Amino acid sequence: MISLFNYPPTEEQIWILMKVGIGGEAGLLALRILTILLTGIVLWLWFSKLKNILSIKSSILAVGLLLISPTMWVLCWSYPLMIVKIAVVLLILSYLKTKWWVVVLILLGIGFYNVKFLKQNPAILSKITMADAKNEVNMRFMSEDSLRIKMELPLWWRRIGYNKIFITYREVLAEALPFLDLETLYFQEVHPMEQKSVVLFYWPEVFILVIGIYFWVTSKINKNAMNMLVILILIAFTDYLFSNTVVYQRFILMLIPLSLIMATGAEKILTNNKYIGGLVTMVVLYAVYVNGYDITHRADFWLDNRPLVYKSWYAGIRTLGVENYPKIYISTLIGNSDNYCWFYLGEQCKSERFVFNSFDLSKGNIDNGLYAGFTGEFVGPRFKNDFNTDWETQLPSLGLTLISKENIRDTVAYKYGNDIGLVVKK
Amino acid sequence: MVLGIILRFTGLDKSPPSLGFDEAALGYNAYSLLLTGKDEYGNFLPISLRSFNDFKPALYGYLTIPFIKVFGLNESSVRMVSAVAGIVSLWFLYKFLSVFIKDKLVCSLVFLWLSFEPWRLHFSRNAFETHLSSAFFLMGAYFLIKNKKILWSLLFFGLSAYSYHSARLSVPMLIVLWGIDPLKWFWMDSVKEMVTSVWNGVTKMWWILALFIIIVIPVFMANSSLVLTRFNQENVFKRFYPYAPKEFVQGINPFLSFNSNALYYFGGIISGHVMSYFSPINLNSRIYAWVKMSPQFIPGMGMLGWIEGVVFLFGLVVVFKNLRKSFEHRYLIYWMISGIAPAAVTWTWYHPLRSLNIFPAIEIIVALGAVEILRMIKNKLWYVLIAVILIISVVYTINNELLYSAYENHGEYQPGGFREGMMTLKELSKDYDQVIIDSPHAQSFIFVLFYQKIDPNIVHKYADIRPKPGVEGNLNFNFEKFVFRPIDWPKDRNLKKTIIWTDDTMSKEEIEAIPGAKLRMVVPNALYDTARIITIE
Repeated sequence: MISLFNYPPTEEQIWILMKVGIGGEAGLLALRILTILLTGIVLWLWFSKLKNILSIKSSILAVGLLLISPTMWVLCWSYPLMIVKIAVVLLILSYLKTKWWVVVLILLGIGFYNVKFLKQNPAILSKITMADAKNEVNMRFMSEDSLRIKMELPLWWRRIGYNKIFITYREVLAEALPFLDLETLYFQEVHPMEQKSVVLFYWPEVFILVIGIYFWVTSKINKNAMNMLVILILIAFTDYLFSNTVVYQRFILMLIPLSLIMATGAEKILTNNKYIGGLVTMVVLYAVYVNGYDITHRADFWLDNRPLVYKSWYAGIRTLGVENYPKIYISTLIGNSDNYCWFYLGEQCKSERFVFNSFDLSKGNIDNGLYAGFTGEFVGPRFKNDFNTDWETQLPSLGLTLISKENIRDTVAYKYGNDIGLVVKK
Repeated sequence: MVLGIILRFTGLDKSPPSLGFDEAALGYNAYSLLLTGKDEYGNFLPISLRSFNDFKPALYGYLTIPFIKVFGLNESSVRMVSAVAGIVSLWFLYKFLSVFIKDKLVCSLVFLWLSFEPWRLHFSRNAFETHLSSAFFLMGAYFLIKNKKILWSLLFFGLSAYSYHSARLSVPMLIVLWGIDPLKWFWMDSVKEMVTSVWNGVTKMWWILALFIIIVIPVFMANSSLVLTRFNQENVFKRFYPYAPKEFVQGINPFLSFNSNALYYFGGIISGHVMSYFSPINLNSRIYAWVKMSPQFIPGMGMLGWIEGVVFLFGLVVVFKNLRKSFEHRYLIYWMISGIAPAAVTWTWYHPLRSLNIFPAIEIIVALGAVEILRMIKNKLWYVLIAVILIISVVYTINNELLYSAYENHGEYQPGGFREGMMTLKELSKDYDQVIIDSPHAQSFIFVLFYQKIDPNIVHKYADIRPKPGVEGNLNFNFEKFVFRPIDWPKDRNLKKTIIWTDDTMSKEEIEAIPGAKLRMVVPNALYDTARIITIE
């Protein structure tokens, strides 16, 4: 059972801990508590702002709907920088008057934060520069010209439809449209594309959204609330466009406006008919329980599996004893192994005993030492990632001894298998 | 309308460049009905065509008969019914739009835009029973909302049900929802008022519903459980069991599990199926695997054009705003729900083909959104910009359907090569004892029947040896000189007086090294050389 609560630290948590120089489990716990505290304070301030523009009930419900989202649990527990992003946006909106320049400032800030600080490379940038459009126009002309049986359309006519400007427009739209993806927002529990993501909202909440939308478009909503909603959607949209990370993190700022809309719907349901209100509450609470059970029993299904890889390697190395090996080779196939090494094993990782690089032991000429890596690094990569389950039987012929082996649910290093392990060459 | 007619009837034999299996089956069954009054299995005037044991509703086939009589058995005549359905559907789209948009100029402009929707072009240029059904459904829905000529409505709904399975569930649902108008209940103050409303609704619609059921009873009587074959193959209940994550319900009844109750997840699946038809990304651009692997796939775009998915959202807001006061707006929601229902109980998440009945309703909602957007625009320069984008978008859609689609779809479902090679095969086969067809395409026999115009009386004789209903997959059967099987060269090189149709990539030299063998034709399809015709003396 891999629970959210014992999930190993993410890369951004490691990065923060390195900056403050406190490693180990105690540092991680402190960081998590601080993140939760920050979330609590910001949501309280947000509630204080909301109750001036919405009813008290709606404000409580809006914050409550945010708090029961598994995405918020995951962000609080594992992604402090994302929480900082939410916090900054909500604090600015709570304290500054919603002037146009404030909104522009936030939009620019979000783009800058994602691209420069979170090191994300949004796909929209390559669309705007028309680089992709040029390729597509050429591809379409070539494909159509290769047809042996076809209708003949004049070239000038085809050029009207197939030109860089229109294809760019189309590609930008294609990037923007997934922002309105109901499946990702509400049906992650039963998502047909099986994309790797955390549940943003539970599926029963989609009906609360529909009712909420109805009341937002038909009732006389406070003008300030309407402005706030539009601004929040605009900010969420900008954040979505200028980000490139796992899908639920691209949607995090959309949680806020959606929670406002749903809160209005939920309030109407609860006040108009207590029986239906009670039923809806029970269903939503059951959804919280089901998802809570799920994420505390198979967090690896929902979350990035790379931290599990590092945890497995370094826990194994610690048990075996660093001092027993002349060299310890750690794979870097999935990122910054040295940062994780510092977290798990401390300053000794800076010694020359540790070598952080990917390796291929199947080629022979292997130095003595302990190797932490993927199957493909021990027995050679396979193009289709199709390794036999008994791959370790190949190790003795290479002079290697398997110390431990673990299977990871998701493929995090394609061509290198889903098994990780520690092997020794003596 | 003139542009619509030109776009639907021009080059039907070239784009798509080859027939799909189902198109060939509809065509050959129509041919068989024309000559013998029986389908390819020898069933006299059937209500459903057994075809690939999928029991296609037969109306498309019957309506194809006059076109085959006039133009012969070819690609164009098979697709004509769909093209005509597309034209009629356009006319009723205009009539429907005029119910909601009173300004004739605005209504006409919006109609002009919507008449070029990708799905309209695509489904009009391929033989789809569902497209015919959708056109009849639209006509029936129009007369129902007008609440005048109800018998016309019934007639078209009946024809819709005889054209495709979905309508058999969608029509009664729409009639019931139209009658009882359940959304109105939300604004009623007392239970008594609600009961009165239901009673009035029932008295308004019961006879229409009863007549519709009487009309469709023959469909179920004729083939009883076999008509449900398709549903048994595709339903949501079987495919996703136990609905909840398997690792949590192993060894226990998933419906009794508290931690991961199957009912919760099943609710999610069904709700997701329904909501997916309201999702702009699905309507606009997302292509699911099961869509891509079928003839309904429109490459490079979704069912709607490149902006309509977003405009649809504005339209929904307009519908919401008017829900309380306007029955017509509530009717659009009823239309959507009843059109989605048959697709929602199948395993696929978003399946345009099975829910084609809703797309005219979606277009009307898009139109309402577009009118609302135009109303909000104050600066006339924006009109020019929008017009330019829409014109380019329409040209792109036409290019995409007439040319690019032909390129992208030229695969498993539109195999090609059969048209190009079958005439040569027919000529050659007169002098040989047997013809072996070695094709990777499932059910390739239908192309032999279609392109060689095999006498249906001959095919009827083989009905008893053909795979029985319930069998899926390879449904080929041997008849007369034709044998359908893979080639095994070490053995088959010793055959005498035989023609071989194979996709084997052997060179001419390798073929002619076989004693008595001669390469007669390299069969091309629209993109590449797909097969070889080899004779062995």
